[in-house]
Amino acid sequence: MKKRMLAVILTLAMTASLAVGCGGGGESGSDGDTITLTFLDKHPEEEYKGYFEQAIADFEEQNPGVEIEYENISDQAIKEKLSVLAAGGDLPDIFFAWGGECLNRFTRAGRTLDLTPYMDEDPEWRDSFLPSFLSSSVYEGKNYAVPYRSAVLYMLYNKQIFADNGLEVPTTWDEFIDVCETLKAKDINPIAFGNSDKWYTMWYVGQFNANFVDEAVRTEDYNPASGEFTDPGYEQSVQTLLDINDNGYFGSNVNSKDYYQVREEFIAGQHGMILDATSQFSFYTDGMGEDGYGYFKIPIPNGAEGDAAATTVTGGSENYAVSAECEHPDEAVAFLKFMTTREQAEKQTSETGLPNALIDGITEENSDPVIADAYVTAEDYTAIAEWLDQCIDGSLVNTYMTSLQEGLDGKSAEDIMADVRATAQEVAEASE
Amino acid sequence: MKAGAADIPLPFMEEDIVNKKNKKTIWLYLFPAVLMVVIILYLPIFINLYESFFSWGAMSTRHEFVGFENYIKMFQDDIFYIAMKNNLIFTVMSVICQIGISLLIANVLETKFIRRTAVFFRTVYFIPSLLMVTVVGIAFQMIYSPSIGIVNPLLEMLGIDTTNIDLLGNAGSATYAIAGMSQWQYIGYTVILFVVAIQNIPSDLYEAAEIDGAGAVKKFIYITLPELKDTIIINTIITVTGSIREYDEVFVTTNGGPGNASETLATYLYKVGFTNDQMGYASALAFFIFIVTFIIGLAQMRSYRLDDQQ
Repeated sequence: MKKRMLAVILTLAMTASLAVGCGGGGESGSDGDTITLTFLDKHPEEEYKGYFEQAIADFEEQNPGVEIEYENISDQAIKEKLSVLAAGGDLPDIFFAWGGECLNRFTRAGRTLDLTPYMDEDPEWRDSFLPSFLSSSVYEGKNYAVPYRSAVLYMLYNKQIFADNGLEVPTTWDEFIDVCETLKAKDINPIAFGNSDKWYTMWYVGQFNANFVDEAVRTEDYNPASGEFTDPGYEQSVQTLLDINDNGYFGSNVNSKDYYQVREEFIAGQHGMILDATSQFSFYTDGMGEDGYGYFKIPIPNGAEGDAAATTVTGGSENYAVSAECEHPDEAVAFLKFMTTREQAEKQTSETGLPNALIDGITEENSDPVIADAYVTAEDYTAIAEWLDQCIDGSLVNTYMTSLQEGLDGKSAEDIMADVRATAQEVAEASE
Repeated sequence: MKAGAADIPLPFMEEDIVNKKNKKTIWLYLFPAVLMVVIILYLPIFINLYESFFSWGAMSTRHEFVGFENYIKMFQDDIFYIAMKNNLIFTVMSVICQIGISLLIANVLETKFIRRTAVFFRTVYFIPSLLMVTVVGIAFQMIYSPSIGIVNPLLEMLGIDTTNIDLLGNAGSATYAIAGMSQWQYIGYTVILFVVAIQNIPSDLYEAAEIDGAGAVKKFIYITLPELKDTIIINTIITVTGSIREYDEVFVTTNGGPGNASETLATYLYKVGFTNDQMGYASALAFFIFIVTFIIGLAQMRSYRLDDQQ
């Protein structure tokens, strides 16, 4: 009998040790007096990483007893990581998110912390942000994130190539096409473009959608519950992109090159122009010097009649949000405040070149002249169209991108929009 | 193991000696392992099956019973068929290269004439299979690239017009290009497995055949192949199930593109679940993949048993 008891106890011990071995791990929470917050971010690049790590260290020094566990992964990886984390029910306490639908899907499911009370308590904090960027994380009148980084889309050009070929900066669509033709005739690839990652088309189409389709219609369509995409402007927008490709202004083999590759090629002087956001300008300044490249507003395609065609630009904010399940929301919000104080935001811009999202936050003193100038030019725009691949439903983004990639390989604009409409209908039905 | 012994589960082999009390003890000792296997392996399969009858997403609050709708959707989904076709391409190419060609290579490496240099060649063939898929994927992206790669210039030297050749960028060639890369990486692995098996064949069989006047081809067909039957079956099963689960190589090189041209069942499953947030549909796809691999698994057990009864 004793032996049996021993066997039972041993068996239980074995089972228990197995269970212990499987569980455990880095639980966030308080350990004695120390509070640990997990933080998921997307700045692993050498030129950014240092600033964020230093900022965290500074915050920890100012707030003894709070420790931040930093996880820093790439831009592409974080899109899926956030979805995977959400599925696993284990969102980090503080996490990076783009605005629009990218954040709203978490908010709708009640997974982000409502920051409105904190902002009501500290209205100065709320008023320090550029309203167009702060608004991208507002859902049903409430704030669910704060922007720490902003971006506006421009067309960049190689000054040397333009000068060598006697080209002027284009201001209309026809002039833009003339520039492309001139470069093509001289065997210089007009526009740097690579789409193996599929998202680059979304920058173009997002901008053209803003040109061709009225804002009210877009807002309705970008909402997963009511999206139809029946406005003819969407097809015109896709056609505009396909025309650029069909005329050879993007060069060849666009589906096997990626953005990073063509960006390097542009910096090396192999392309005339490239579409990029102000948040990336520092790369060009580093690679080509302040005088090596210039920027111009993306010309408005012929036939674009959207009510705000001329005053809307694609861009957006990058934000930090707090998980609704966070056990120490006050400390987490304190960290968000710290990251967006004027002092810290200006440091971010001057040290990393990442434009902040504060009113008067970008100046000649804290950023390079090209970026500062680009933000002055941006004042001409009154409306920001959120990144298309962030502001619509995930499966719709997938269909849009996949079909556009096929479009660069010959699929028609009509068929592409038919795909998009079919998915939009599915998404709308699913969110009813 | 003796014939017949395989039919009886191991703990009960000598039933007359093992009394009832000891039987309980045996179960008791097996209990922790069985429990873990059930929780980790079987429970998720049933949960997955259960969830595949619902329409739900990780980020939506909806969780609604839809019956077989996800399965109906699956069989009406064009991309599902593209993915199946691509898995089939992977399977066929893998079986031809990793079984057929690598068997020939192994046989050549074990011939007398090449014995001295065989070690060198074995190493050369084996090294690619030690590399990480990400490394190989990125390397091949560059190799296949029309602008910076080496494949197109090589083809041009052979007098082929390469203006329309973009191996990973064209819908028609992407899957074959990825499958080709996969063969380059893993052919050496099966070569090694075959080499080891060939070395285990008693040499007197070959000597007897030589005395009977058999040439190299006859020795291969009448001695090597029958003796390697088991290894061939196991390698085939590993290769085929691997092809059905194909994910990482596609993910690194094209991520299913251009369009959906190189999507496989596994990459599509991931996209449906985590990009499109249609977890119910993804569960249905996962269950389909499970059924296919399960059937192949059954075939595997079948072939073992046939062998035991010989």
